Amino acid sequence: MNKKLLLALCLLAFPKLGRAADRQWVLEQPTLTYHVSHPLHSTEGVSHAAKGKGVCHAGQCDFLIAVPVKSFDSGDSNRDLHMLQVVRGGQFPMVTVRTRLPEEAAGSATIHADLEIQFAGQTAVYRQVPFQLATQGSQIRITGTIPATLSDFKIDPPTLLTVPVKNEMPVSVDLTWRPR
Amino acid sequence: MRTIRLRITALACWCLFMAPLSSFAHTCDDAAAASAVGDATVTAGDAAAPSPPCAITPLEIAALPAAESGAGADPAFLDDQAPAPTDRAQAQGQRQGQAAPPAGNPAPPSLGDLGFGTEQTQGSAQEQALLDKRSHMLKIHQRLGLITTVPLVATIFSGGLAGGRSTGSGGRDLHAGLGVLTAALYMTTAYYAIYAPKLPDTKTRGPIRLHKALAWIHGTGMILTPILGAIAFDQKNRGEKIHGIASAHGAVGAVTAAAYGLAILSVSLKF
Repeated sequence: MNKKLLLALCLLAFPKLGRAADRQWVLEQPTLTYHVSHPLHSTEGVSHAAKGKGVCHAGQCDFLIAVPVKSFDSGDSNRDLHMLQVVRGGQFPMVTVRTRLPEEAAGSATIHADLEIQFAGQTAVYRQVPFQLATQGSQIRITGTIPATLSDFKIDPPTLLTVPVKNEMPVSVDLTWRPR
Repeated sequence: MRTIRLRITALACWCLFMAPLSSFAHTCDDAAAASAVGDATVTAGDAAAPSPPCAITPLEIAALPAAESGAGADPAFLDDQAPAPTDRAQAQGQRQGQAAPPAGNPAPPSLGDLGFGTEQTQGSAQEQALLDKRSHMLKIHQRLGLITTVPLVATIFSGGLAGGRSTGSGGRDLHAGLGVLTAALYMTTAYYAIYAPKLPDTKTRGPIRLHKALAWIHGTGMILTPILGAIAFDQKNRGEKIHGIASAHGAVGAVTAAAYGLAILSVSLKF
């Protein structure tokens, strides 16, 4: 009787002890593109320097993506330096994005993520941002657009010929994650 | 004796089984209680607060009935870390790490895990001050550059009154005065571009290269044009026909104005 009880209790106990088992994701081939519009022309700045990591536990995955502000290239060094100044890139050199997703979301075609973005010394939260998922072998490619605005981060719109750029600054995301 | 040992082992297994459960339950209760009383460490707006271990996930929210989840219900992990939706952006410093998670949970990823060097993640007030000064000077450069176009255009049009068969000195004086004003504004404009701080390790790319190349043309022209104009002015005042090198005054001025206009367009329009 005691042996059976012992066995039952131990069987119940050990799966709980194995709860700390994790799965991790690493970001590869990242492309982040910001879009800024001005009556005279539109501009895009691209960065491939983002790094990211996801840690899964108990069915939930915490993701962190970070990218240096100065890694964005619009094809015009003067504009990039001015962008760096208006977004306070010297003082706050990194953009970080944090999100938490259920682990089973990896099997979905579309996910809606809540993003916490730290940029220019400010924190903004974007709720239920839709992203498309495409599985490529063991890798997952995530694409979508974050509807960021300059005012979300208290950024004064830069001007060209005294005309300010539009407040909208959508950021296109193309990220490939692989499990580690 | 054997029975006692078995019972002790059974008790040990029971404790092992119960410990994690009671730990999770306790953590959740703490978070809920803290939220209810508005504890500063977990209330909305504190971006430095750690993620609660029993946060409601988006998937769980979707599974809740509307009345339970509420319109626009937010995941708890964001509520406890980030500002409320009505005040999305709040002044926050750059968070470089995260607080330790509860025992048994893996740490959420931090900047340190990503492999960025300290020099990349640490902000520099000095670098920001340099960027601010640079942008400030270049904004003045831009404004003065636009203002300069007004006397420049006026100088071009008044040139018709200064040369040719005109014998009166009024037109020449007006043209010369506008020319001097243009040159003075131009030099001030150039000063703000030339003495704007340069950032180390910055390679010049894009339309700004054309803008800088054209500066060599209109810069040279802005020095030559007034000199040639002064010579022509003297010749005309002496009643002579403009001759020699002074006869190039009009052509040099036209090239200078064209290069100047193109320089403005090179950074204004997308080619």
